[in-house]
Amino acid sequence: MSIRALVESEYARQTEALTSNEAFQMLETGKADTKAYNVFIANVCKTHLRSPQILAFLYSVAPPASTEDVKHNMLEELGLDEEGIPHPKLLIKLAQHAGFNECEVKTLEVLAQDELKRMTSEQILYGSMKEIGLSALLETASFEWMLSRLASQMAKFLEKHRGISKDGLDWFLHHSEVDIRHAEEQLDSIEEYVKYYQFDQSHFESILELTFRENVFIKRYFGEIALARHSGMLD
Amino acid sequence: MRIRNATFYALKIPFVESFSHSIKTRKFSDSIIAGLTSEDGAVGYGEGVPRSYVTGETVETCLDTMKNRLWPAVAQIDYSTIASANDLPKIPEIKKDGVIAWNAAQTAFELALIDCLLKREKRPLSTILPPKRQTVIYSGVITSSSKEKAVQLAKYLKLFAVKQIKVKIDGQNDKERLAAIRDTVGPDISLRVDANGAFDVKQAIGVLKDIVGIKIDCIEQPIPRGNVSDLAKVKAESPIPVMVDESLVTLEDAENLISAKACDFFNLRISKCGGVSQTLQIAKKAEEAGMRLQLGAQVGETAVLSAAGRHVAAYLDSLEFVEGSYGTMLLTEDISDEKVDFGHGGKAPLLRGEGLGVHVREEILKKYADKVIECGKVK
Repeated sequence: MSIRALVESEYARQTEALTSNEAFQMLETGKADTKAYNVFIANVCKTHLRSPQILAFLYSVAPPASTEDVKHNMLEELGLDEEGIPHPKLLIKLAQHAGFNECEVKTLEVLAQDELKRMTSEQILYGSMKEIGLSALLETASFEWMLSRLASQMAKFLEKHRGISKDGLDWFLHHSEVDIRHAEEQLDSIEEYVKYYQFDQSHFESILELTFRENVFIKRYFGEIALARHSGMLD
Repeated sequence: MRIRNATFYALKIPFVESFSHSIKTRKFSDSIIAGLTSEDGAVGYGEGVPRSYVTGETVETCLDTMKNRLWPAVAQIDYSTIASANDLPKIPEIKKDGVIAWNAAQTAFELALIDCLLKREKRPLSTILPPKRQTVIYSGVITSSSKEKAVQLAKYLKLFAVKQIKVKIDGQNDKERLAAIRDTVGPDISLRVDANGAFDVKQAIGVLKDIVGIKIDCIEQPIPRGNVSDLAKVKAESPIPVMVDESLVTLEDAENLISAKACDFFNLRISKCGGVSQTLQIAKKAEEAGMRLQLGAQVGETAVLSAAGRHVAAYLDSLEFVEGSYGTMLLTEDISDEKVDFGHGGKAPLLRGEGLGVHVREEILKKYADKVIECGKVK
């Protein structure tokens, strides 16, 4: 199987697991309570608030052939492109529309930063930056691939069942349109990356498997307990 | 220092994926965390991992013993500053009614007292256990599984440049799995096996002769805990060095194993052996007898036991293998601010923070607590 096909197949598997997850379906069908919607919104914010920093890292390790795409993606996240909308601000707006107060919004920013600090501080199992870069690229691209397919759906259930106005859902709406292009570009970037850094198939497959050993979407959007139920580790 | 109150958390932290050996398949950690608060407000955390097939303790009996027997005794003691490794806090002995030893319960208390005493004085455990090395090198573990799964795990460990690997064996297709793992990792990686007592004497000798060509550095617990003379028979005929694990729980076990010349290696595990103090006593006995050493770990242990293990591993003179510090490689979430997992090459640095060197997050304890027991001052 080609690199692209392998990656897309993994992304499809991860996305399918997310949409068939009970926690996701509760939100989608309106059976969840307000607290569950708020936890979901908080988790989306925590996951993506530091995306510009992650993209800056990916930019620094990008092969020459994909540098421009990654740079454009990063500038777009920062609001330094022609549209001028910083994506973290859209996430803050989402939290505010959900009724999060100033202190709660600040907490989300602190938690997102803490996660970055933790990632930077921990011992690394991989032996080189090229491997860490590949894993980060695979995970980042997986979110764009998933969001390009599900962001509208998520926006819809937040509007319908949580009463968030369209204005508050800009982050989702923006991602549902923009990420269709990004997702395709990211798949190109992954192929370029693998070629440029001369990963052999087995090496690449191991990093792909390790990156998606857990369902990253369920873990980040619904937490460890939902993930454990999904993987059968908890009843 | 007197302890004002204690809280015991029976945890249920899910694993990333299940972990199997010949006796048990586990999907979550079932550690017990003891949180002790001194009269002047210092807080220390300890951990014990009860295993019915190792010490005879279960989570329920361990919690009951901690609450009703150890806590009333510990609460009466005025603990003094720890001056040296010979001066670690003593946990009152309790009757071994129906168990081999209450070692997990004792360990949870001992580690919490060490953490509390040292945090109160803003000192790391390394001031009591001066490190002999700056980096601890850990082994990887491959669980009982299909050949395909074993090869996949071996590939990951090779990618992480882990130099020593332990493979769980269970009498099912062991030779083929081991050969496939050896092919994957190459000739220079140290492989050892752990049977968790899966064989009888005859079977064990047969298996050992069968796998000797795969270059196996040692076999852990080939037969169940029992008569040491059976183990001595296996050792006498084995072409591969023999390590004891479940057979070694108490100091008395260590003495019997040494005098029967029943093994080549001791596998020390802090929770199994009753805490740092008893682990060091067994290690001393082993070193005097020329016994080789491994510092093992409990499957599913959290950052607390891993941190204690890191200090002991750095302190002991001669240690050939170290296990543990798997952290979030196995647990879906660990309980401390700091991750204590090992990194590339199995390497992990010394812990320099106060006490055991980790800050336990109470919100994580509460998140995964299956049961919480609070104990106040005993009158």
